[in-house]
Amino acid sequence: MDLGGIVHQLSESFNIPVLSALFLGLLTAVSPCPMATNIAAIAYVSRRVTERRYAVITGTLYTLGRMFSYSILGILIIVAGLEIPGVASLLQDFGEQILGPLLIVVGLIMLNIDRLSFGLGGGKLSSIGERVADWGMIGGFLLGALFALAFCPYSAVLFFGVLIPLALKSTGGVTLPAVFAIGTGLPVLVFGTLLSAGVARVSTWLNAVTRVERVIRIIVSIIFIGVGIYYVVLWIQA
Amino acid sequence: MLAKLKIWSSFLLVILVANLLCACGSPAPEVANEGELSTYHLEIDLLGAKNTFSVDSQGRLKTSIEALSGDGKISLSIREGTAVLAKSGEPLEAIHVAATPNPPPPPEDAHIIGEVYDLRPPGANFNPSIMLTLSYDPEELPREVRESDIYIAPYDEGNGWGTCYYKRVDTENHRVTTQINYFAQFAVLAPVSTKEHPTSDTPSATTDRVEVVYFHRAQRCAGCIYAETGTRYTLETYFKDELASGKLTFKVFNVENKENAAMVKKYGAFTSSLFVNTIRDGTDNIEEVTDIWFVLGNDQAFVKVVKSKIETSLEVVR
Repeated sequence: MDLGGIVHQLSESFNIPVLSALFLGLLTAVSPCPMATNIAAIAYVSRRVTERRYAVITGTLYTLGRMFSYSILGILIIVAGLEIPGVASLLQDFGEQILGPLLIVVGLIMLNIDRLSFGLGGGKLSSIGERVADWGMIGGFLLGALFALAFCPYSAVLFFGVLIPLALKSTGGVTLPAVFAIGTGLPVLVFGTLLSAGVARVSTWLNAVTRVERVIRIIVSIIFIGVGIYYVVLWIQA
Repeated sequence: MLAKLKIWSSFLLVILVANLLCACGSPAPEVANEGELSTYHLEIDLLGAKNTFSVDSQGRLKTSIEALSGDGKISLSIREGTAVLAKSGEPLEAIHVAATPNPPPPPEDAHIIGEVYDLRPPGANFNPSIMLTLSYDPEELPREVRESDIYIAPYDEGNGWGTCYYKRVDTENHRVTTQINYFAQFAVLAPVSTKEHPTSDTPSATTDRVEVVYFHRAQRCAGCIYAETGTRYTLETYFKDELASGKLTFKVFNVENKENAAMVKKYGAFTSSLFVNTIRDGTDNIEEVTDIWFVLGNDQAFVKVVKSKIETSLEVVR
């Protein structure tokens, strides 16, 4: 049975809002547009192969970042009574227009870190570059918080149209956006960790951990730029 | 534009999107005897511009067709795999489109803009529907008519003027597009707008009816397009009579378009969304149908969700 069917079944037959929220999150994570950001996130999470725990911690922080954004949105709507249409339109505009260029810029910065620190040596630029490279785990959190706010039509429907109404009528509904966030972040955590562990194993066999890491950073940058271009193209074509 | 969008998304997410795209509302007809797929030909004559295309023994097109008349005034867009059949059910051999020399009188509430085109042979039918695009001269429009209000309507001797349930007006290139699944005479019509501006104070607004409204943003995902196509397919397949009698209406709006602000506000729409408004004694009862989002790509389940929702609403106004 496909994921959508499971969610449908859940909402029809059982009344377990927490479970519905979790599956709604999963459904969002694998739908095309949010998946593009998730691919970037997986790449980001799995990029440092020398540290075993890095992927797990970054993946968790990424999920926490999403929980942060979705919860704030949820609180603003459920507790503070923010009007959904206004905020939903604003965040879809954000998703369409700002996310693409932002991803491209982040990708370019990450590409340049190598050049700057290996090419130029010291200097101001390379220290900025290093700082950005050290974003690491905090970067995961920021990425999660940011990606969560970039809504596509489909994710907007699932969050504002299905999850929030469910939260509004459930007791303790304020917690549902956080559960939803876990659903959206889970694939990143799982696949990021698996990918990282796989690459680590292979690179140890090849005895080329540092080289592999540099290559991966370039690949991750390119994925960011690629996903960014995808968003920009979608936006321009509309 | 949308096509490119599709290509892009499928480029990145082949499996997922392919799943959504290939399911466009209508279940594909069964392939019968693989062995006897001999080739037939379909000739299309659009105001004198002739082209020939291959079809299989079931009348299904082997390629997608974009046929345009020499003067660019009329075009037909037919997707690969569409069954093109004559009234007899046999594969159609020729399509002939010409401006009719004796146009019918316009309906009471509209002007005819430009030529009336005779699409022949009568009784020819298409599954799924094909797109018909007609150009118009904006100079010909009565002054008080907004370009976005014009539409294409079918005419035949027996039934007079009918209604097409889909339209898209390209005000930049001055073209109107509609979906048709049978042949008749077609023309661009402009409503006579003496009394009504907002659609809500037409006389039918006082009677009980069901209004189905689909909203979307300018940027559309594959799933959003699927939802609209699937809803339209369900309505046109199962609720033909209700649509014709006006008991049921279907409208599509872009939420980002300022012209639609009143509608968007009334329904509280902000993204792709399907609403069913059961209007009883002049009172709206608006419900959003969110279940459709769980069954994207699953034709049967999608049709079932939409159909049962509308049946329930129609019960109320009957």
